[in-house]
Amino acid sequence: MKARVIAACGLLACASWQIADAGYIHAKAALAQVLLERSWQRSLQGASTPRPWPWADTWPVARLRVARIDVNEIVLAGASGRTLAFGPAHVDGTAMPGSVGLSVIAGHRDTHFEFLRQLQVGDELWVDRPDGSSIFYRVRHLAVLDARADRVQLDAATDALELVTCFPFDAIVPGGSQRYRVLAERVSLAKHVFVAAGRRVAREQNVESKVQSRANEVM
Amino acid sequence: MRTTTEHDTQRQLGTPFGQAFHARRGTGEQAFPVRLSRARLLHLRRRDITANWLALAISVAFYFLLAASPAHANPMDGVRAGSLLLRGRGANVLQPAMRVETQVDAQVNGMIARVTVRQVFRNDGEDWMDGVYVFPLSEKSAVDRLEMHIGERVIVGEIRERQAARKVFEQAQQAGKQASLVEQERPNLFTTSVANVPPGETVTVEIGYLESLDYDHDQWSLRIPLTLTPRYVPGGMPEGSEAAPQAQGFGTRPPDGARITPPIDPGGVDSQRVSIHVSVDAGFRLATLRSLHHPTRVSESQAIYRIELVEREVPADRDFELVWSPDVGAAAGAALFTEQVGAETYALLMLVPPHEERTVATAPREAIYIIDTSGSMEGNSIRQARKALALALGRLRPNDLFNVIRFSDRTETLYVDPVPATPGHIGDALDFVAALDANGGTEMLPALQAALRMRVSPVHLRQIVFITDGAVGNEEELFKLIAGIGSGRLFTVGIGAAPNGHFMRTAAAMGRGTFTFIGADSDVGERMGQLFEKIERPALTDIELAWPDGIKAELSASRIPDVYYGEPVVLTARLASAPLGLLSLSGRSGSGFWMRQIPLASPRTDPGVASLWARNRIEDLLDQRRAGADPETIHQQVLALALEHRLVSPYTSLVAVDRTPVRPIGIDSQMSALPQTAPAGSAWAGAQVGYPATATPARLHFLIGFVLLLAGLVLVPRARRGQA
Repeated sequence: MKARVIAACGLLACASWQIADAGYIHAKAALAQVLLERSWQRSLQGASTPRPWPWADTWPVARLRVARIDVNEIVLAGASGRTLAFGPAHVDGTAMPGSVGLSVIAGHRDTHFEFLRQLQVGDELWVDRPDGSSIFYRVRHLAVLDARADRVQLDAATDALELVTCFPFDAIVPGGSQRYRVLAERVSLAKHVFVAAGRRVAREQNVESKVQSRANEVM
Repeated sequence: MRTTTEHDTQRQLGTPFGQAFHARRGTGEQAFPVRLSRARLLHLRRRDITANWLALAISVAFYFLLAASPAHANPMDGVRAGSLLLRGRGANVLQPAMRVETQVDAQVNGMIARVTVRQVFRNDGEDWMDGVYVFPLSEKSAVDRLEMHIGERVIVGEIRERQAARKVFEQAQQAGKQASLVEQERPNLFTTSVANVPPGETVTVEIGYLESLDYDHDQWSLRIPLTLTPRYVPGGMPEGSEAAPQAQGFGTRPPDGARITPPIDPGGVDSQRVSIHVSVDAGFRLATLRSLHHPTRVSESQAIYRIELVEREVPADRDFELVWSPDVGAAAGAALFTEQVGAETYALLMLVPPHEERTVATAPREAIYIIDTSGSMEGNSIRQARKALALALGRLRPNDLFNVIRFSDRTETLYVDPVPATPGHIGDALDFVAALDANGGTEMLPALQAALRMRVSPVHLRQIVFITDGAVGNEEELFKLIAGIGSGRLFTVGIGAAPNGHFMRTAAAMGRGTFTFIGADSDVGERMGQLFEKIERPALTDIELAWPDGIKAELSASRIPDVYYGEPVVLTARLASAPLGLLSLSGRSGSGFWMRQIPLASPRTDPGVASLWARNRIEDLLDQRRAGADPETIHQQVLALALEHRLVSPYTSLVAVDRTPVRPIGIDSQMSALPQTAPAGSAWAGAQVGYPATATPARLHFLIGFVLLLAGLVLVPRARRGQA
């Protein structure tokens, strides 16, 4: 009978280890975002590669916001496995948000980028850059890709943003080849006539914040 | 790409997991339910409450497993990868009303190919059309000719500075004149724009280019790229600090630039078709001649071979590649081609280190492998790099020396100085490599310093292989360090789309080595294997040229690269005076000093050598810009050369305009981006950047933990009962 007790204890110990491990992944994902907030503030103040902790191999490059579903995450440089544990990451070689070309941000499907499943065509995304400017995107399409065959198409001459995560969202075992891709196109605020009108009104009233809300309403 | 309507897709997305699960239960997954029911029966006999609860819990667990794992019931079953699920407004796939037929005619003369690409733009629509066609050409092509054929008339294109050419084209477009424009977007990617193609008519654009052929292991090859595949892009990847001029090419496009990114035709009956004719006049009889990817018909008369496709036209979904080898006894030793332009003579020299040199053991090497083990290498990259390094270590010969350096934010060397590749040392190194894990930051300088500090062997050829995926912050310092590399060679290997690929390329050029770009981390093992295989057999190093007295020569390349086994030395030069006397070429081979003299006088003149020289010179100048030369000076030099030799370059384009307007005022022309056919067997990819893996094992761990917890809880009450 003693053997049973030991077996039971062993099983329980293994169980707590596995569950703790799962918890650790989520805790790390959540905690890192808090630490990253600090180094993001430093990059807003002009630091070029503010490492969130001294041995880090990455640094914040942008902030991603989706107001509708209350998402606010710091994006890191270089989408390697190590970096993705801490936050969504910008894929090297693709354009930075706001410069000409396609920019790609990847994130884990079960932590930071879980929200991708909630995005719909027409949703609004904001990307804040370290220089203080913000770029406005609108979701254009959603697609499932195969990472074995598909590659990021850098030739796109549009200012677009791709958010990529593993697919399906609810898979238990990691390492599948499918990817879920949200393609968002940059929306130029200045070109929009309604916004321009709103901006004029705002300038007259000297209330800059109204421009943003007006822009949000219109688009 | 298969598309579904928005309505369908939403319905698919909305399918509850439960339905999918129930629908699946009866089909494939028999093993789980059977085991489950047996477990359920056992427990029912013991204690109903526990059993019911357990069964429920396990059912729940399996429910999640079945409902969610990719191979089982997921609501997107049947949706192929790459499918477009939803389509927003304004993201419509372009339906081109224009078609392009391509005819390629290549004439091989010695080691130069003159290729003519005829693009026939046919407007099937009812509107006047403008078109933009993006197409690949060989990376080594010197584009120097443009002709526009309208009916019987031929309009010859002129070379202009890029912006000026575009302006001329746009003015013609507005004025209703027929016009065409050829621009270089990347070294291997060009666009043809045509304006005002009348409804129901055709405009033919003829583009001519020259290319020097590849020679490797006694085989000549001619490659005609027909479709955009990832293989052709790495050289021109848009890289952060390398924005000008290739990447800017896209920036100078009209505001509707997005429409110019070629839509991809999935292939099939309506896909772009191409016909190909090649004639080969190699100057000798051929032992073999074959096309690698297309069935062809060959006819021969007087050692001139004509090759045509068995099918008159083929879909442009794979590259055309032709290889041939000379008859026995006619293996190429040295060949000189010259062209006289004005007072200047241009020379193209090819020289193959002779056979006997190759059988002698190649020079012993001193290989130093520097590997990045920073956190970003974690996962597949480090796994593949480990594999490739182990392979490289296994191939070292006993008289070679080697060392391994790993770096992250710390640098660690396996041995203080390079050691002979004895089985004992190799064994230690294999252990060291097997234990490499990726962690920490990226500090490259100390690693390179460590490599250069090591004792230099006087008899070994030092080869430093530098493997990284990281960003370089202190380029200047690194360049300074690499400049002191002395007789060593530096080979850089960039993994992933490192944003500073230009640093890697420049560093390799300074170190007289090569840069290997590996975009997708799944290719790491294979590409590094190819590199190691090549560099372990250097045939001729430290190549020097001595021109005869009184001849002033300007080589196109500022440094003569090493030659590896099976490769020839290929040089282009501009000579200020008539070629006379003997050119001597010397270098270090496996058996020691090697020299060869070649008479400079050439019996015939070969048109195209001048263009090839200018093209190579432009490439070298652009490389110098990457190495930090003043961009403005380089721009001026490239522009002058390109205009003089009528070459399309990053700063120059060819433009042809008809004199008389044809489109009636008041009728607009429509814009059409013309599709490229997708490469056979692959999804189209504009560039080699792979998607990262983005799932954590958290769910898996949680599930295992949960199942273990349940099993433990089952045992606990039983254990208690057993004791009672």
